[in-house]
Amino acid sequence: MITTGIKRGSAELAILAQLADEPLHGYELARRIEVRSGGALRFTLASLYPLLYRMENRGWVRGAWQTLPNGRRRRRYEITSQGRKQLAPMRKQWGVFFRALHKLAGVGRA
Amino acid sequence: MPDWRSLTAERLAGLRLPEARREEVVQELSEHLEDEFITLRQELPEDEAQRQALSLLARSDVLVREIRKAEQEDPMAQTTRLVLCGLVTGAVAFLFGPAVFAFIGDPFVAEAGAAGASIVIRGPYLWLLHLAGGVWTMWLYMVIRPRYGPGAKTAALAGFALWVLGTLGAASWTSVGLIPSNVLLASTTIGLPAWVLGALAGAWPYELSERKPSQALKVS
Repeated sequence: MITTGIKRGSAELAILAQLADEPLHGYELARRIEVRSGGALRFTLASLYPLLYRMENRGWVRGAWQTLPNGRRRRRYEITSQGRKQLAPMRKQWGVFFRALHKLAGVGRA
Repeated sequence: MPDWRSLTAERLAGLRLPEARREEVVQELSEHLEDEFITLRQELPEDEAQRQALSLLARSDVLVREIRKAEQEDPMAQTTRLVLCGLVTGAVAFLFGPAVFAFIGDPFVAEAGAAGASIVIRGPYLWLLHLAGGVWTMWLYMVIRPRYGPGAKTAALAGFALWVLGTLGAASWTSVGLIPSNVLLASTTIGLPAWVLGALAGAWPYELSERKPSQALKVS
């Protein structure tokens, strides 16, 4: 079971890492994280959107509405240059964290 | 196909945000539910797909609370940060003027004073105007930052906007003869670099005080 505390920090990393690949709307983002994590990381509406709004307020991501050919309107998020600056140290810190866990508890790559 | 927008709006009735922002949130979440419904519909009967999609809003009270918190995250700290950085902006813009006057000399000030503008040029009102202008500039920076990105360009844009407003105000005084046109020209010429520099100076601590990524555990 992944606790809420660990999820909070890792969720920001997961979101920024996906958006660094390409802009996505909320549903795509949630699905992609779920699929790529093999179902281990799943967002609820109450965890995904408030976090996206926080990250947008901090200037890490930018949301913009787009209208699809079928008339549906979607808010697509892209990472900002400030978000990219956050992503690099996050990746490094979590790498150090997992290496430490590996040494301490034998937690390794699957 | 259910009316996802109405269903979402109904469950988010307790979400108290400015109307336009609330509409955006409702629209975005209803699109999410519709996407989920379409995905589920590929494997489930419509009724069951709808039930499962709607279950995403089962804890709508938690959703409403979390969105409200995210939208108003640490408002006191945000306001303090805005005001302090705004004061830096105003102070730098204010001090830039005397620095330039030191090079061009007193005739400009004397001419402005003779025209009855001394209270505006040297009095405490000028300090107050600059400090208020600085806070407004930082507020504008904060507002346009998500769109244009944090950094020097956006700060310069905010400073430029303040300068445009200030110039328009001063021009109105000139039009009724209270400020000589050459004084207007000199002050607005100095004003542009002063406000751009001030905005850059204010944006710097603003960005330094930006919240760092939250982490469950500190890693050194």
